[in-house]
Amino acid sequence: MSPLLSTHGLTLERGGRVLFQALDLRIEAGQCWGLLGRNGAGKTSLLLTLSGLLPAGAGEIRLAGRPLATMDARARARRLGMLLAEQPAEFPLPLREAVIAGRHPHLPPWRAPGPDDRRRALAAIERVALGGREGHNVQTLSSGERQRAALATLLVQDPPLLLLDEPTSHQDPREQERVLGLIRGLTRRGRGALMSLHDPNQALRCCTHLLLLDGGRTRAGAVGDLGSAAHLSELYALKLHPVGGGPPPLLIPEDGPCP
Amino acid sequence: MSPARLLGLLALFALAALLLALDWGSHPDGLRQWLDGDPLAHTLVLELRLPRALGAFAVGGLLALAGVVMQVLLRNPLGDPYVLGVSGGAGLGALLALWWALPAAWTAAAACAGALVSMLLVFALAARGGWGATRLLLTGVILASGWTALLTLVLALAPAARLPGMLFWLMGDLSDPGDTGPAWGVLLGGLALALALARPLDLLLRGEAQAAVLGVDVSRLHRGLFLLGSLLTAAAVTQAGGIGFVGLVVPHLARLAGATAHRLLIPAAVLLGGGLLVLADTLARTLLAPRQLPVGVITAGLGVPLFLWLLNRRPRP
Repeated sequence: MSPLLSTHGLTLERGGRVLFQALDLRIEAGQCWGLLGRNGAGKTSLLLTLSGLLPAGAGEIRLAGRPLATMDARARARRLGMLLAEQPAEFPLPLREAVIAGRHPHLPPWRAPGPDDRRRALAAIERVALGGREGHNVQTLSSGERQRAALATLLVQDPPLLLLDEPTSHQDPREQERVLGLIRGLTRRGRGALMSLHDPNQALRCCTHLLLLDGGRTRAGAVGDLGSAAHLSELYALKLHPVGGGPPPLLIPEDGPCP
Repeated sequence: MSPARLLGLLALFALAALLLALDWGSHPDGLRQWLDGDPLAHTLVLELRLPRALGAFAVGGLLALAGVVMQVLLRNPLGDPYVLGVSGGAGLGALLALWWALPAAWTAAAACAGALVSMLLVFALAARGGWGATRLLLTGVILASGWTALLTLVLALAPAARLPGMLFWLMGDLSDPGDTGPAWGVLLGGLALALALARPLDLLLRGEAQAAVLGVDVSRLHRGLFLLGSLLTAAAVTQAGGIGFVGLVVPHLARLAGATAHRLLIPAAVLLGGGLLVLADTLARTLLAPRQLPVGVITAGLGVPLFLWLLNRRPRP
């Protein structure tokens, strides 16, 4: 069976700078990939390229065996969904309608969402802990709540492959656990995920595989192979020390007060 | 409020505005006398007031629908039918026709031609820039200010005898509806097309990237929306000149009334825009009767305070 997503010799450039070259990646059902790298390493660019929103510099991307470039937007959205880093809200929109939008690629263009779509939206809103806020205007939600509303939209879209750009960035510690648990639960039930994270410990705890973007060099592999303190210290150019009983170990910079 | 109830109320409002327009005027006779079989009232109601009210309704609906389309295209709550310069091009065409004292039908044709030229200019420039909302907005705004400068030049150089007609056109004029068939045709066609695009429009309002990941072909939708919005605007200004604030305020009013999804917002805006412009025109020709006020003064008089109020009560994102 073809992998959910594969790349062959993928090269990315942004503003005349080569972000990385010749990336070969295979994401299979059930795998949860953590995408780690320093600021500006190309994490968001890679996610946007894999989701078809940015053109690839060179190389090929295949979704379930089919070249991404030949797929139309609706067919693509049934196979792949993405949680964007920012959720703008310039116009008023009730949360319920924002989340129901995830059904768009599954509904014929002329049909309005029905009771079944509404039920799915309400269930997704419950799962991201926004239950009871269905009628609230998304403009009045906090950035963390808006990010979880976007995650609920992605749950309603329910694609086999999920790309997530820093899904925990706006969340408090309890909600970070909830979001990571949701994503891990989906991959345990056979979805695939690739998510960029800034906390290597979250990647070590929740991911099965890691993709490290290190200044033009890319490394992809199982978390057991790439998740060592040595690899991650090199990636961030910051000495990280393993503490705690593990596995996985908890990686922290120098113990002690702020430098 | 349920969607059916909201649309029902707006349809009643539009109907009431139309009936009022048929009943009120500088002459005291109205619907009652017409129903009694009075021949003068028959002429007043059916041959003078009805075509004018139908023209006003079509223009109001066109502007409101164009406003909805432009606000989604630009993802900007301040988007309106005139922001991309279509009306400036139409104005220049109309003023040149008025300068040479061409027949009224020629003025409309020249306005339409000017609108299309302006539209093609923005289209060519925006297509090169990849249809980003900010770049499209900047292109349109700069082009619109260029048109304004040319309009000022024409007003400065034109013979004094032509100036009142020119100013009246620029302020918007519903007094000579002529054949309202083309305006109604564009309105109904545009309404059907916009309704067919209702769900992609909902998605686009949440940003290009979000719409694209949910399966909308964003660049194709952008091109379609630009053409649709421009054609609606061109039809409105060709029919009635530059009537302000309907296209900006009506979409927001409809959203405030609870019509946030486009399958509801689109018909709601058309009913509200048509009804409001019919009402404004009725006021414009009766407030100081027998003198007629420019209808743009009434729409701006209603629109400016209403919009400032809306802007100040809008929740901060």
